[in-house]
Amino acid sequence: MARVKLSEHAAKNLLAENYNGTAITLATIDDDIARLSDNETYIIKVDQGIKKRGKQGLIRLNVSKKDANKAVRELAEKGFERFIAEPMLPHDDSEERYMSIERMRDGMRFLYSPQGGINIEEHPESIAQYDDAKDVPLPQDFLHRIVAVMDREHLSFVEINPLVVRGDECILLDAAVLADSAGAWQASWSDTDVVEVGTKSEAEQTITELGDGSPASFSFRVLNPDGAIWLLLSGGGASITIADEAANRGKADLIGNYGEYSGGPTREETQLYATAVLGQAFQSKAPKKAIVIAGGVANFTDVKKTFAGIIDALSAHIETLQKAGIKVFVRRGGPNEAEGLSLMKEFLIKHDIYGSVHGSDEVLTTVVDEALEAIDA
Amino acid sequence: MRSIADIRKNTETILAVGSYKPGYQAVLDFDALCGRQPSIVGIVGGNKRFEKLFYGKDEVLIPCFRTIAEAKQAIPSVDWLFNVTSARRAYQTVEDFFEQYPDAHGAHIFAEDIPEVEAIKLNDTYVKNGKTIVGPAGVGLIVPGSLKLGVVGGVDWRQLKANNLDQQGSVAVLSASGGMINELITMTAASGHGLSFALCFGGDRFPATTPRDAFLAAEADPLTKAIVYYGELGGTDEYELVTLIKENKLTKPVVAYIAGVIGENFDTPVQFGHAKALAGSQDETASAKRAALADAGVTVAQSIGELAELVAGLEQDAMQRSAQDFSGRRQSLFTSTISAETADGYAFVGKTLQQWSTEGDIAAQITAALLGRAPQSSLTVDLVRTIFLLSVDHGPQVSGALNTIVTARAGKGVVDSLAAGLLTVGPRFGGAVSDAAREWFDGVSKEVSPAEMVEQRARAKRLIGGIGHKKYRLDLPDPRTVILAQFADKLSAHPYFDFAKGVEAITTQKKGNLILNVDGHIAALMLDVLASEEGFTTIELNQLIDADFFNALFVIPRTIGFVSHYLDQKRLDEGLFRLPDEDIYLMN
Repeated sequence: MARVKLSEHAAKNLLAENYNGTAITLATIDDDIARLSDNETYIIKVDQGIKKRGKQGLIRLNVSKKDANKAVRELAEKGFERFIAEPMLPHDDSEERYMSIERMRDGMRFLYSPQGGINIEEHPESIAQYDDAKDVPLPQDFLHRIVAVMDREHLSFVEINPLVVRGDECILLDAAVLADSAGAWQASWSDTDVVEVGTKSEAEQTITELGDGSPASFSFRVLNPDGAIWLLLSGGGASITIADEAANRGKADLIGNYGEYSGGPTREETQLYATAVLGQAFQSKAPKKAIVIAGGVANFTDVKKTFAGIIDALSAHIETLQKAGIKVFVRRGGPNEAEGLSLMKEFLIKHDIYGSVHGSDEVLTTVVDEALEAIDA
Repeated sequence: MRSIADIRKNTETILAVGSYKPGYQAVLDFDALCGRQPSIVGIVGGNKRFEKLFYGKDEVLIPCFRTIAEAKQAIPSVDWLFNVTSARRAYQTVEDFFEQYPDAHGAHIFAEDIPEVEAIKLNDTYVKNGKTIVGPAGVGLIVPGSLKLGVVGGVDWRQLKANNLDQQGSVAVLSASGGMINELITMTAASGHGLSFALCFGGDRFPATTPRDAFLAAEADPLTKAIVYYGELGGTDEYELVTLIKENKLTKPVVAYIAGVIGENFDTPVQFGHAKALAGSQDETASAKRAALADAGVTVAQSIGELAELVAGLEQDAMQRSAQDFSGRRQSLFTSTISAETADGYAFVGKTLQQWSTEGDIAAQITAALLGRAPQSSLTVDLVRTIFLLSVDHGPQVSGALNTIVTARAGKGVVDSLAAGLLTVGPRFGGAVSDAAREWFDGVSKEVSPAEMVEQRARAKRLIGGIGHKKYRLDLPDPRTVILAQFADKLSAHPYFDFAKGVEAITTQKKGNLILNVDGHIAALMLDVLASEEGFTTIELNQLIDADFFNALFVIPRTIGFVSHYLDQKRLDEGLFRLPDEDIYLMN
């Protein structure tokens, strides 16, 4: 669905020739460390797609094999589970270069700086942009190989910093890669090589799995676990527009989540999605809460069918909603709009959780205003 | 991009690929509301011969094909591809389409999750060479009154009608989002405006038809007076619009909403619903893009409610809600193309029964019945007549006649006795004409030589349908086949007959009675006549073989033979037949 970050280990496996790093996970730590050599000293890093690891203390230098377990466990205490061990490469800071390549509509865009390293952001003026590989002052064979790997493996963005160049040899000390998830099925990397920044809530995890197993699409991200407004939205565009309304009112901090379902999910899928969103909403410590169920005027997603799924989910939590005084605010249009809306309205009124129900004749974002007023009251 | 004014000529046609009946139905509903002919002329996929769809309140059959290449044989020219195949198939489908239809104007790709590399290739290969590719990950293009390519505007005819999409207006709606384009179409119609066209370029990072292309099409369109635009955070396409305005290439008024300011309230970039919707840098944020557009003179709404007010303020169109109503329609369970009960009596394959009786030729009527239409050549009727005259009966000893006779003597009536005979027809008795047709058809269409085919069968220890007779040999020819073979002389080309004779030339070298028999002759000559006299394509011939058409050429005349055996037995009335004991060897 989008660009995803690969682990440093996976990235270097794709990009570097004869890569000799070792991936270490907490679950397999003993076996992983057994593969290290007694005669090397290692750099051990957290490998979960986090930037500026050195400055955050997420790197251990000059670690021998026998000290590796202790070093990894120390890093793990900071809340991480994936690591990478690489033989130390003695070099001078002045050898460090910066390079990135990004896929653009009209070809690759190259950025290069001779002053690479962890402080690259302090001298942006040293970064030059090139639209043609042949102009980049780096070994051409190396650049061509990286671009070929990017095309073959559906990589959209490659950043190598620092890059150490010795003659024709290019050594990747650190590498960050964004891969195109839509091309994963043609590539040699897989889902297990993708790193997520931060940990997922239970609802986020459930919804990711729901999306993986369906032709429809689902997204969900907690923005504020103690938010007051919980959004159950449909449509990629309408969902942002609706969330925007809270920002427009200066109430972005009250929004608990962003998320959307689209692409004509089944009644059962919609029920599972709604259940996960409700579960997350109930955990919020906000004193007053509201649920917004909204979307644009659907082209093909059936309003009646998806609303039936949402009603299934709400039915299972009626008491919780009533006790917490949570009201539900609805706006939706599309195929079977009238049937879907009247079904929803009847249900909400019957169970005394009615906030409002609007069809396509009401502006998309009115429900957000109504929900904000309700929690203000 | 294809000019919108050209699309308004209302002659453009669509080939749909993939399985999505509600989407196709909506296109035909749109066509019916607009009063234009059905724009979808073929569907690839679906494993059937036709898809039955409503056209208004009537039903129409849209032909289905297994591949785009097959569609091309039946439909020589098509303007657009409506591609609803999955993300993994979508690119290949576009390639296949333009390979078959190099002159087509463009394609719409519905699927999400098309790899970036392929999206860029679509642009390089097709868009830069003048094709219009709408999508991927979008809902398509709609030109009110003329063309609906995609689910844009809705899949329910009530939505299309409510938004007056059958009539031309003056507002162009352009959007990255499929859901929001329909929201904006509804918003535009609700305030009394009509649509000049609407295009959704999709929420991917590299839409094949870019916002720039779409804006230039709106600028060039004589009916478009204003443009309503929905964009999102992520990507930098809006800066190209700024450039267009500054270069004076985009002069029509634009009102816009760029969604995603919510994303600026969080420390780490949030990936929103669409692949492109992530602001990786400051210039990709919604606020930055809003500011740049406003600076260039675009009227930028701060909320969708404000956008609705801006749209309401645009110059009004005179729209009139269509009076058409498709409610209450119900899909029929069966379709019949050959007969009807009419005011003039009964119609059968194009003529009333009175007309058939006046013409007086049963062979002509049966030929029409078999083809499902009037035959184009008298030679076809002559061949059918000859086949029937030669196939009526081959003696009381053959299994089917014997079963009819035994049943008649058991005291059963005509239907039971005839059925007993007919139910005997199968792979070993009388059912070999279709088998033979399959042999000759496969041989010719796969371009194997008769020698190769005989060799393959010999190795597989399989008999060849249409070859061999218990009595007749090369030196003692079957008098029936002598008559049939004369039909070859009346045809300018007879590849199936030549192939069958080629097989006979080899098999008779092995054994004298492995001749091309009556079934083999009937199959080969009928294939040749259908191809050369009736214009059947190889696909159609293949379908006839699958439908067991060729065995019907045996069953119809033999029915007469069975009935005559039945009546013969009733006249003789010899009582119940029982096998004599000595005719059965009891092995106990």
